[in-house]
Amino acid sequence: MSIEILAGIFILFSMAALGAPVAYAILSGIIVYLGVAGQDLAIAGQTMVQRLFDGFLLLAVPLFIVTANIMNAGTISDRLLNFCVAVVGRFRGGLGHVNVMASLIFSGMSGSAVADAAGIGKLVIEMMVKSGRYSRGYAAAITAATATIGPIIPPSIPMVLYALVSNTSIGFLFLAGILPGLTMGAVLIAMNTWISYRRDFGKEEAVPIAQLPLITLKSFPALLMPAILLTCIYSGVTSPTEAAAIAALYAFILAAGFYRALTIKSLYQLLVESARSSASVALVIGASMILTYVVVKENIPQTLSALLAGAEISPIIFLLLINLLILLVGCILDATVIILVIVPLFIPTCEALGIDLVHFGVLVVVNSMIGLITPPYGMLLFVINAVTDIPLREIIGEIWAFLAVLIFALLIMIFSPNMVLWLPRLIGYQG
Amino acid sequence: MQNFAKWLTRGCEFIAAMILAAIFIIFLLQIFARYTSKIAWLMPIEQLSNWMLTVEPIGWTINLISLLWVWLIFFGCSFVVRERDHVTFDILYLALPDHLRRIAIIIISLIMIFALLWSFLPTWDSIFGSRLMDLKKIQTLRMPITGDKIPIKWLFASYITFMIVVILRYAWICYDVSIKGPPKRPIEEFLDTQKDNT
Repeated sequence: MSIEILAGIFILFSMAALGAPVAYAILSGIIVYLGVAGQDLAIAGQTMVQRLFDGFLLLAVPLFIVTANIMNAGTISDRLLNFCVAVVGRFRGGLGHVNVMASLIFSGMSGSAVADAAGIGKLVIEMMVKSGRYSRGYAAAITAATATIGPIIPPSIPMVLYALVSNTSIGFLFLAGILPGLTMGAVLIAMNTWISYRRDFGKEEAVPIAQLPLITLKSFPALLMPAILLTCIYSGVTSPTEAAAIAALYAFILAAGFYRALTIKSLYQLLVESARSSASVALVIGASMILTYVVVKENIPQTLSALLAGAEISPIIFLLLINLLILLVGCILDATVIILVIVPLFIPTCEALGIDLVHFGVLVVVNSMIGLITPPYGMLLFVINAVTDIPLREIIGEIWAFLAVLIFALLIMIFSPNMVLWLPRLIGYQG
Repeated sequence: MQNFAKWLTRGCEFIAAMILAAIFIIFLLQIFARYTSKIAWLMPIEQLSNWMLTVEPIGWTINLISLLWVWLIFFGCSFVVRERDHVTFDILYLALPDHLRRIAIIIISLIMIFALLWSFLPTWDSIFGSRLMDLKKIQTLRMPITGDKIPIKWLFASYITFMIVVILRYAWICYDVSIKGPPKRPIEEFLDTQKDNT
């Protein structure tokens, strides 16, 4: 390794470790790298601006953020919840099932686990605690676990980021996420049922079947959202990015026109919040784009690939090792950073080993979402802690069972690429 | 002074929100323009359907959206994103006692200021001192009144703004922290309110 790489890495890691914003740590690291190497220092800023300007797909990110914020502000989340209670609330551990089902549906609209947990998740936790049948920790833990489904079922911000670094089709990635997302829902429901019987949680009062049609009718427009989004993308009517704009428009019409739950003031406030979070996420994306530029120029992925090829690792062992690595770094790193900075290093190796990049992308996204609920540093645990006042210790005490079944679901996905790729192949994916 | 800072923040938040709204609306315009002439036959009123047939797909929307997006990112990170909104890795930081946190923040600020100052002049030169940046225009975009194409340097100028503001911000943080000590993180503020309640 050359002296300039060492200097850059040293600055990057020491800044990040001391708690600097990750984007700034990367930027300083790159500038020092360029400076020590005697290269043009303007490359850092120019590359970042140029790549952000060219990366049109990235514009789906602010639009999905706006959509999620509209859904939460415009009581769409509340309505979906009523629908879920009416359908699955009648079983033992019913509110736990409601939690899973609400996440499955809501994830078809927001594309962000944090929005899921802070919006609909908060409402479910309140319901669960109020019913008196569930402990605070249990309610928070199952909410955190179900929120991880959000970015697996399309639309999905992490998948947009993966598509960007791997040059895979966002359309096929989205489709590939559907079955794995349902699998995750299934294992979580199974775990919830098991715990409910073991701890003997009481049943809720069932909503009369006669009321079901009316409740369904009221929430039907909201349920239509994922269908509209996917139709726009796969019929070729709009590009995936434009579909994100349509989704935002639809959420806006629902919230402002149909449900009349959006004021000018709350709309303005959510625009400011969305602009703020889009800008901070995009800066990390921009910074990791220059990092990728340097990494590729230094031939690091190829070197890594040659090294691993020399070790004659079989694809399945490689996948297991990579997933173990992501699971471990996921305990301490943010999902965005994992997908944008760490994953690109291994993409050439995947290609060399003949691993399908769409399959790999789904694994990476699922895995980094699991990272959001692994202690000690789980973003979702913090978010739930911040919006509900439930102590972290109680949440972490209950999270392990759900963590275990999610890792089990991940293993299923690793060993069965055919399950993951089944839907994309139906539409014509060659892989 | 406090009042001025508050109004500056409000104004910048307003600009960022409007840029985002503009991106959204231009997206819709782009989709609308592409399909209007194709669905004109659905429109029963003849005058309207005739007008719809004349609507043509717009070429400049993609470039304008991208230009606004890049400005939203760097303007937003300069004026709207607060320190606590950034993606950070703060396990180690949170484990430090106050006097070490102060040192950590000062070190971060100094490295950041140093790196940005070091690259400032070369970056400035490459954008405002280069004839290429002046000659190369952003494709398909024209100013509304004069009809001039926009030189590409105005795209890159967003990064210059960002550099200047971040240098000033970190200089202020460095000064502020060395006098007052490190600010509390949101999680800690929250834990403090919990303590008061119980």
